[in-house]
Amino acid sequence: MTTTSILRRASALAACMFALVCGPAAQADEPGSPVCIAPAQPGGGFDLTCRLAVKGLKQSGELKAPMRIVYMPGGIGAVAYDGIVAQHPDEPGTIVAYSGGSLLNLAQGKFGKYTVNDVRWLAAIGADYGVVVVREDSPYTDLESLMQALKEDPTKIVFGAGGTMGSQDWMKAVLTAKAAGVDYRKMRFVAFEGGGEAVRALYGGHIQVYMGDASEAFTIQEGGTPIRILAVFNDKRLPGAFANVPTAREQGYDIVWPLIRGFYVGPKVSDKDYRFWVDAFDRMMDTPEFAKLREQEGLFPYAKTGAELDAYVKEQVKRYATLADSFGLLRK
Amino acid sequence: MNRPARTQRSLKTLLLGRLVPALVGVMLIGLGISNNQLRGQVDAAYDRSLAGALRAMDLNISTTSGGLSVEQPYLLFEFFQLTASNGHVYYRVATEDGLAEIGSQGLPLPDKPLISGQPQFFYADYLGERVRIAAMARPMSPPLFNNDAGRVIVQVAESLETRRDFVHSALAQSASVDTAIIVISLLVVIWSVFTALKPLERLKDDMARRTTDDLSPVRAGDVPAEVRPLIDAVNVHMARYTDQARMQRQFLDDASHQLRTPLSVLQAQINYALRESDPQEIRDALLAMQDGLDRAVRTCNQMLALARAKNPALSEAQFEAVDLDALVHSVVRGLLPAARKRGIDLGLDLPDPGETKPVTVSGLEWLLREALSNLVDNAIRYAPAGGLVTVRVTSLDDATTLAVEDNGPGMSPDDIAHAGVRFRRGAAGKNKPGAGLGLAIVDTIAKAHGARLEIDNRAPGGGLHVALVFARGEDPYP
Repeated sequence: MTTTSILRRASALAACMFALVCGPAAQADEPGSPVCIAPAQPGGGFDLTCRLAVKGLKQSGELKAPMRIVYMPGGIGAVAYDGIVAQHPDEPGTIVAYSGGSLLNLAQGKFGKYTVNDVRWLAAIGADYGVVVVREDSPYTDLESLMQALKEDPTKIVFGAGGTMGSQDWMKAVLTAKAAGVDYRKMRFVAFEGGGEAVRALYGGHIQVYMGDASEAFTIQEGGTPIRILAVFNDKRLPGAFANVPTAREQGYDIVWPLIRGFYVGPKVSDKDYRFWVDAFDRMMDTPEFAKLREQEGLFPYAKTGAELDAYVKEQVKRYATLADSFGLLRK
Repeated sequence: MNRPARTQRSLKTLLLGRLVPALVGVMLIGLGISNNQLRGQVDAAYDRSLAGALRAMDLNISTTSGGLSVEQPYLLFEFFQLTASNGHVYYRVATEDGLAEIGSQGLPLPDKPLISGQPQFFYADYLGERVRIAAMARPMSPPLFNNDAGRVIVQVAESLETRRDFVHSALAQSASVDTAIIVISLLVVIWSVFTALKPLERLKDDMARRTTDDLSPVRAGDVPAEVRPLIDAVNVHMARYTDQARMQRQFLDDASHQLRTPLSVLQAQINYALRESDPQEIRDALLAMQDGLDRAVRTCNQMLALARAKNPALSEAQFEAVDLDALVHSVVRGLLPAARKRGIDLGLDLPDPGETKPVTVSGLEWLLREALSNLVDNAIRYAPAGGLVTVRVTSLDDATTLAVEDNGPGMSPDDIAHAGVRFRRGAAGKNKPGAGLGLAIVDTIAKAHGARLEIDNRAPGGGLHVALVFARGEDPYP
């Protein structure tokens, strides 16, 4: 499938959904025909984010009209970003899902000519955190022993992940190698088709470390695969099942890698409509029902909206850019 | 001239009008061709580096874990960045069924099926930009679970900025060089055309500056070799005119010179006659004047005949068959009184008219008559009283001869050598009346007819033998 056909289909979809925008609104403030765009194929992290918003907003009664999910795959969010900024910048009923990975790509200039300033960042409704996973019978019992082995011979430790070079999984591996004092150029990294394949390789002994996310690791563990989580990349321990997993910081390595999930709207969406969405998400995230939904989807609490989120996103993209640059990922 | 505008086009317009567009056309075609070739070469060169990246990626693919994986050493990444120094590089490693996919999702596949192990290069659009893609398929080893015969497809793509920039800069370079060559060539062509035609311009100016009576040869100078025959022809023509003009001047000079003496003699005789009262003396004076006038008239006629014989307008085209027999009879009959007066035996020696057909030569009857009259007249004058003059026509296979013989004093070898010179009187003619034009006229007429004038002294008994020999070339009147 070529990009043009993706774009064409995307704009066709957009055209039909945007045509309904001016229909009768269920509430005076509510934009008509709410749509959540998941910039990927169904079943991924973006789909999960949209489903959480659909359920949450419906459950809390913030949206009267049912919100539809539209899939717009391409360039890890680049196609959707381009569609919103260039073609439909003023659709008040449309929110687009993003993740920390989107911000990382944005920072690396992978969204074409557009920058972080080209959309209105609306909300972050949850977060995931990087984890270091080894086999349960691995000789590495904590982060320290892994770091020592890595220091001794970087070629013996192979990192694996579902993402490719430059992705946030690769970033986590590089940060780990860097923390061990190993040249990131010497680090061995194998990209898999997905987390599941990587874990299978971990179990087959083809890789020694799997760089994943907490929610994913939780699912794997629940599924009965014997793994050991050496560290979580957050400034404090995670709740629930992860309460006994120490942070990297606790073990003397300052690696923090949150992965937020949320939404943005078009750059020309009015302040009134933007306000509506901010208020709706604020109120939704205050409800215990939403906390439960979020937990079901494996996301950890992270609530930021409006100006506060906007500032955070821009700051984060700046940090990502610096980081990517330090690893030679940015073109001069 | 109905089409002066077309036929009057200058050589300069013609040359430049064809050379310049042709030159520009050829150069543009050349530029187009080199543009095409350059694109092909650049594509080939960049495709090679793309193939290198493809191979490097391929070497890092593994299916030993049971799933598709690609080890991504940093070196590979650096290698990729070198592949496209200022553009995007994409890669995709996927199973042929597309179920497992690593890297850039949905990177387009070629239209033609991939042959295992052979990279295929093609252009496609990806994420809104034009990319060049190298794609290769190969069997997976070991194969993936449930996918025994499946192949893995490796694709590496780069956006076109780098090769486009390269092509553009190379094209700009070759275009600027070509443009410079075109401009220089044009200047050389224009300069060459102008310098080549400059002598012609100079020639035109020279001719325009000439005074009306300037008939000197045209200076060829640096005129191109092709034009020189034209100038030579013009010069020959001018020389002819110069000759004619000189001849006319000469004639006028001669005429006035020759007529002055008899006229002043006449004047003296008239003065004498007017002073005389004796009728007998007056009559003698008038008779003397009649003689003088006769001579003057004869000189006039001779000079006119000479001028006519030298007329360049005479040509063989006007020639006709002249019956020598009739001509000789007619001339001799006319001069019989003069011969009889001096008691000269004027005889004829002609071929027997009964045996052969009439002897003819090709020429102008009045000119030949003039020549023969002069010869016979001369013979009558120089032969002693009661002498012998014979007019003889002989016709042989190779020549026809018209001869006049006398038994006079003959001519010295020096006089014979100068026989054709006008107004020169031989030693024998010192005390005879005449202007010295006779043999000059005969000589001129002979030349006009392509005949030879032969003058020699008859060895025994003296006397002169003068003959016009008409060589029988191709006789048009057999």
